[in-house]
Amino acid sequence: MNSALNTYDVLVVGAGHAGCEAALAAARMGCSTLLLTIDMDKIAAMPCSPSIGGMAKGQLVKEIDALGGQMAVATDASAIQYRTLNTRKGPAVHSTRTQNDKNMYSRHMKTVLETSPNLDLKQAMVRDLIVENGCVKGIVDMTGFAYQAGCVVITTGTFLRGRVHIGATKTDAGRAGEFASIHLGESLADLGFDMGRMKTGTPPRLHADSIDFNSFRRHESDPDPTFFSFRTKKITTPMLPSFMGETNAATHDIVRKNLQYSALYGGHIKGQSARYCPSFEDKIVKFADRNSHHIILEYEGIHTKEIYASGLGNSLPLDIQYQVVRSVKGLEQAKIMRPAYAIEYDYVNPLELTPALETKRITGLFLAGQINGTSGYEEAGAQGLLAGVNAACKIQKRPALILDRSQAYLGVMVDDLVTRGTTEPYRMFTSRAEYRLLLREDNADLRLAETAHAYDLIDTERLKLSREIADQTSREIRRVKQAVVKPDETTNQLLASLGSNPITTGVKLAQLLKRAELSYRQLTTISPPLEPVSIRAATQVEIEIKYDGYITRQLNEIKKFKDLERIKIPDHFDYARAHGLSNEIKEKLEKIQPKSLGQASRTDGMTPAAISVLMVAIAAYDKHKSA
Amino acid sequence: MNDTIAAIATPYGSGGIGVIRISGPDAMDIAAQIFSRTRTETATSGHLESHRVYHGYVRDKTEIIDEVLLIPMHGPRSYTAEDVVEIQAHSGTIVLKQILELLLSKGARLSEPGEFTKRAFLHQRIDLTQAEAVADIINARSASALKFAAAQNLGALKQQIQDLRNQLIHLLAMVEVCIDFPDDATEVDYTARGTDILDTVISQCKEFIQQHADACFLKEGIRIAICGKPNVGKSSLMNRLLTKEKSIVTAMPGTTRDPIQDAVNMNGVPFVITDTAGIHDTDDLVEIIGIERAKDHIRDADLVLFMVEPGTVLSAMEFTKMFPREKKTILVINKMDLVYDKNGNEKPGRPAIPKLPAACTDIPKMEISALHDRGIKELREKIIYLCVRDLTMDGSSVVPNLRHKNALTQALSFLTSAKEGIITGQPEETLAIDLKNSIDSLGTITGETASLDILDTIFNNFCIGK
Repeated sequence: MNSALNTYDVLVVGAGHAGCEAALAAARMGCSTLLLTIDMDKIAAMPCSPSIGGMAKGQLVKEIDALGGQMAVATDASAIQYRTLNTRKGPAVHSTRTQNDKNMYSRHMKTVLETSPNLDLKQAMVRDLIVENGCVKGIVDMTGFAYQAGCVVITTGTFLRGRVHIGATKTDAGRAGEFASIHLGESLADLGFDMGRMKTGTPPRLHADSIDFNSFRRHESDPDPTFFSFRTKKITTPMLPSFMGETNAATHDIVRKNLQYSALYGGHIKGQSARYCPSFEDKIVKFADRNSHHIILEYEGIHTKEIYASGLGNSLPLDIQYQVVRSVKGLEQAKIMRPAYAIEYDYVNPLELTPALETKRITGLFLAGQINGTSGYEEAGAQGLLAGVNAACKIQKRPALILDRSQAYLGVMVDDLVTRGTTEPYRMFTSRAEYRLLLREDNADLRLAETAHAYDLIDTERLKLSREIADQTSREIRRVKQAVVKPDETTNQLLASLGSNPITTGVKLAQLLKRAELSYRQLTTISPPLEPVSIRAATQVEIEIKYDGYITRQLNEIKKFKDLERIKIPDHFDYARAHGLSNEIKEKLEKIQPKSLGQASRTDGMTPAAISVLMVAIAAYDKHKSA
Repeated sequence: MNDTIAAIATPYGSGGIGVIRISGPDAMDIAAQIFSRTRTETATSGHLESHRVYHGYVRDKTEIIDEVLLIPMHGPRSYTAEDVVEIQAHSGTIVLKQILELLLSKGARLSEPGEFTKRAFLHQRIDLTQAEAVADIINARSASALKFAAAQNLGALKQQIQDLRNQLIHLLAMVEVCIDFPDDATEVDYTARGTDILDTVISQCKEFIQQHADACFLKEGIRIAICGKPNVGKSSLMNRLLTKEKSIVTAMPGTTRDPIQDAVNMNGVPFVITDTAGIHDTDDLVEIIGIERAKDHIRDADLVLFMVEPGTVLSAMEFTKMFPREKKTILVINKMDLVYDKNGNEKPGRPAIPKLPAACTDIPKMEISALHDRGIKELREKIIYLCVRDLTMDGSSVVPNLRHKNALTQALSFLTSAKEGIITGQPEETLAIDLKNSIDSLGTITGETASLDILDTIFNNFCIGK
């Protein structure tokens, strides 16, 4: 057979959010790339909520965009509602969340994949990995057809030995109604990977015409939304509302009485579920004193009547699901179009991975998304992008792209996963990021442009734009810190009109800008910039000045953090011979194989003395080698 | 290793000379800020040459702390191969500690156990074969620090700091839940609870810092000043307390001109006793100087023994002038042998017991005869009772060390900022930084340096979910 037909640089298994970003990134970097999907009609599907972004996830989507990924663009192209969360707090913790038309999102992504240079999209289910001498060589599909590839990225989501639960009914499925990937799960286990089970679930979908929306509070889209992609200029989709309601004591009684019939409490599920996303049964048991929980109804698309009933996810038999749903005010007549279900699936302990998301066990094999124990489209997409880039780097013999905790949420997530592992589906939260004030949605492209360009993920045009904004920002910050506002009548009139105290002596413009009640735009009327400042730069100036002292503090912390990051631990460093470390720490480090002293320091159980001792051992090793 | 570290390099409390070592890029600058070569300068003027011995003074602004020798050593010709400054000072714990604190206030960091040796090794100053020895030193120093901590009953301190830290973690969780789960946290209001928690933690931290100060004087010795009119028997009492002859005892007023100091251990507690010159009106210039010094000693004392003798009549005016206020004081009535014979019977024609102003009635009084060694044992017991009662309590007392004090002081500044943040309604994300920083500072005392899993606290305390 013509080898061009079945030989690729990078092969990606699974076309969900991780797989799509992985394939696009590798192809964008010039690698011949193959993306395999079990079902060509389920590309970039949203099997759970019809929504993208939210707290910390919004930041991830912006970072994907900054690194040349597709998720933000696809989101804008299919958005039916925009909301900025946390607007009452400062800009560092503003997060964008959209509702999306699921089909539009999927179609958009499929079209992009189909029209990308260097990228083939094919339908196939993978049966086995081809591994020779600890290196991945390709895959074999269920029909016995083999594909050769230099690197393989596996993004199986919930499909790896997936099992759907509704009450006591169990079905092998990757999602309700879809084939599970059984053989590949076994193949990975045979290769010796440390694997576990996780559990997630999804609420029922209701028919819109069977719902009394008047019983719910209506939430409209933000009138003047900020788009996800820095590239999106306008959107054409109509905006749809969502609806807020709550469960009541009757709902809770029904669940309590029928707890033993639920898959979760009936002893059918072994997988670990996420604490932040409890099944409805879980909420009733864990928060027994509450007699009401929120429900949000969201459209699944523009051309469908399916309504996503957020908050009602459960694993009860369908007849009880009906009782639960219909006990809610406004849902008395509701028709369930798709039942809620729980799903268990295999994941690989992420401690098996390097910070490049390559497995330590098999060279050239990368994992991304739920297979790494994470949850969420955004988490998956971001990992996929990174795995795709690093697979391409491996092919092109370039150094891996590793983002650290001070650069991106993506860096925080990957470092958490490969250093500390996870015992529940890992979701991004802003509180996981130490340097939260710096890792904002509004500066994602400014933070990452240089890196993205260095890896050929964005073009020079985008880099130039980011640099211009950054330059303008630093020039204007310099001016604002130096410019003095005189205590004249115009100034004090303006201050009075904005409810701010008058000034009696000359005051630095930056000092005034620090006042909570004053904005950059208002203050430029009394102290205008020397040259026009773009809206993007103006926003940056305002944020950096308002957060000034705290940003300085975080920058100092980053300096200390980088000191330890810079001390690299050699590959295959022999911890057994590192004198003065406890056996427990040695074993942990042996397993994690941290790349730097910084990463080692974040291992559970590390003490300051152990870090010092390790530093000495590394230096001794380096000297020994160079001697 | 971009920072500058400092530590007392000589063993605790032994030898006549104590050495403080500074190492790191700012060692020269930091040393220059506290060292002057003459009494009149306030900082070093001019360049300090490497490997030369400088004589001069360590000073805190204008106050001279000690007369020292200072040796600058530019890297790599130094122990750590970094810029190193060694200061040889007089070996009093207080002096060394004061100098060290001064260095820390100028930007040096208290070194970790074994850190000088570690730096020496990392800069290839020490041979490769010594790597294991370096690791051992680090481990040994950490272990001995732990042992020392155990000896100081630091378990109790850690427990208390842990409690404070947990309260802060709970508060941080309340703040974080508002940030990360804005839809779930609609009913979370941390302002009242947060102010309460911060008030508690702030006052506790202040108390710990005070305990550190108290402990310092405990280690150095509790200072007792003996004062009273000339010839009332101050020197005799001092000799009794020291149980040795030190002051020249005569019956002539004003024999003792310079305050004479000596240390004594009573019931395991170190005391430093100062015999002051008699406080009285005088024209003698030498005596005037002596008296001024005596007043200084009374001001610095932790306890004053105010001596009178039978027959003394103090007017309210004299009392105000002589009597130390806001000091622990014992009124010691000496020469009781003039009133009672050795069998306790009143002597005929005895002088009157001193008449004192009404303000004196609350002050404990002890009747003694220094000459005949009567009432001295009781006086000692009284002294120990008054001084040590507050310090030892029930054996669970905690003594924060310098490292702890630094951490507490740091925490305190973040806590103050956090409290202001809550009061002025600052956004949660900056409040969270203040809280996180203070939790981290306290964590250096309890030994928790691993990254904090605030999410656990959130999930355990709040109803989170879609």
